[in-house]
Amino acid sequence: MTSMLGYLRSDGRVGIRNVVAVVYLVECAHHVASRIAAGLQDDVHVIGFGGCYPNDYAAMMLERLTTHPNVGAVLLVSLGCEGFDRAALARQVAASGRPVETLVIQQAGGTRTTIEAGRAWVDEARERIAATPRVPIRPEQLVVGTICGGSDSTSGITANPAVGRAFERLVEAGATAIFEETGELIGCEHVMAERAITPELGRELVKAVEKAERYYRTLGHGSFAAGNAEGGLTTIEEKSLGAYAKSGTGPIHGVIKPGDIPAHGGLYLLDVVPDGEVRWGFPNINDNAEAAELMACGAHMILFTTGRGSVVGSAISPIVKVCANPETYARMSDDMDVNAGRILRGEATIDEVGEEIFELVQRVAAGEPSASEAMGHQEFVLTYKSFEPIGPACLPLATAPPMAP
Amino acid sequence: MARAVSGDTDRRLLRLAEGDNVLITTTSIPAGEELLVDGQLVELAVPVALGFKLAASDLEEGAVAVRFGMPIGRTTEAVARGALVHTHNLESLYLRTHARGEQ
Repeated sequence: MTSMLGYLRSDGRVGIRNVVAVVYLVECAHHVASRIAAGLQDDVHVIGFGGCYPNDYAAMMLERLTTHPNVGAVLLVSLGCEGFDRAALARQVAASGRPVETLVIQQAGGTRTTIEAGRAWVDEARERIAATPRVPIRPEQLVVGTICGGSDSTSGITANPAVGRAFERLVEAGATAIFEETGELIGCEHVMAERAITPELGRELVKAVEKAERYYRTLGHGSFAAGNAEGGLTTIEEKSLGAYAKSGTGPIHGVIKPGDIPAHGGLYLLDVVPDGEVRWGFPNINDNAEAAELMACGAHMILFTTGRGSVVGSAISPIVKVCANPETYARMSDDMDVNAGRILRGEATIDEVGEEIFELVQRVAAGEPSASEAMGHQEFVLTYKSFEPIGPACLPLATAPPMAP
Repeated sequence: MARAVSGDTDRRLLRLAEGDNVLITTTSIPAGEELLVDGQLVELAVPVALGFKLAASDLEEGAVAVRFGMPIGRTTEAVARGALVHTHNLESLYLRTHARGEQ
């Protein structure tokens, strides 16, 4: 891989960006957080949790995201009376060595004074983190996630297999690659299980997809949007078949849940469907909820395949768009980083586009902005969920000697 | 049933894997176009957009549609060779598909 310089963090991880995260701890503090960041959007990103009731998953997610390697400093914005444990989060961020400040609107004098105090703190924090040591990024330190959004029938023929090829190249180089949305693997579980590095892991892969099917069945609706059908996809298993191609063809090294950060390079499935009874509605209310969970697992960037034409980006980790459909690319090329629709036109092979994505990952890691990033897209969403910890069979590499399989 | 080779099929239709009984359109095709589907000429009854599926052979009601070697659902009525295969005549073996009214 080509040389990339990143930002060294105290936990040994290396970031590919160095942003200040402004974090609202309830929707009531969202506006103030947005105004603090307004006009500073290149490297000041707003994330947060809208709920007033406490939730262990949301607390864990904000801890992982505020100590994500792409984050250099953190400003917490609290209304004051919400349920979120702001002091615990501030302690966790401080323990990671990052500059952190908490502003409580009810104590700081209201909207105007909190915005002024926040802007002053962010200005100072940006100067402090500009001195973060730059170090070369080793391939095995890189974590790349993938999502498909606005899928159509071309996604599974062009962009998804091309991302799968790029994933194979990344894992060969020692990197960590994470694919997800177990609800979009329904119908693929047994084929997928054969790729697990142990039979026990294979059974965990099947269980994760069966859990997703039960969950979606209770909701009466699969992970299938009207636009998927308008794009030629007819059933969830047809969509799954296409989505599954993002994982490539290599061995699968583990199943993780949101917030689990794999200790070894390899290919991992992220199980995004909550455990227990159906309590929280749809597992992920939109594509950005999935991006947030990939980031909580350490993803430095996300390869986002789209056929219908998604435009979203993300706070914290750049989103790279791989467009599956040549007609969509012609309409929306400004929003796209890679035109995988060329494969359908016979102008490129899956291997060639896979290599192009692999090269682009390295350039984005080295600092080149992706299309959505350059246009200022910083979507973020976090909702209520709950998970049980993963079982011992889910991460065979964590207990086996490194590189055993 | 006569088994035709893929050379007998219109270039605008893609068979993703040997044995598939649906073909994928690689471009949008207007209604009324004549297409060769596994050696037989059929007239397209409706306009079909890029990425949609046509039956590669006559499919009975309840037949399992196979794309890229994987089952993708069951037909809810008989489907003639070359006809569009979509939500009006194919259902999931797993979870029901919802679509907007404009479909």
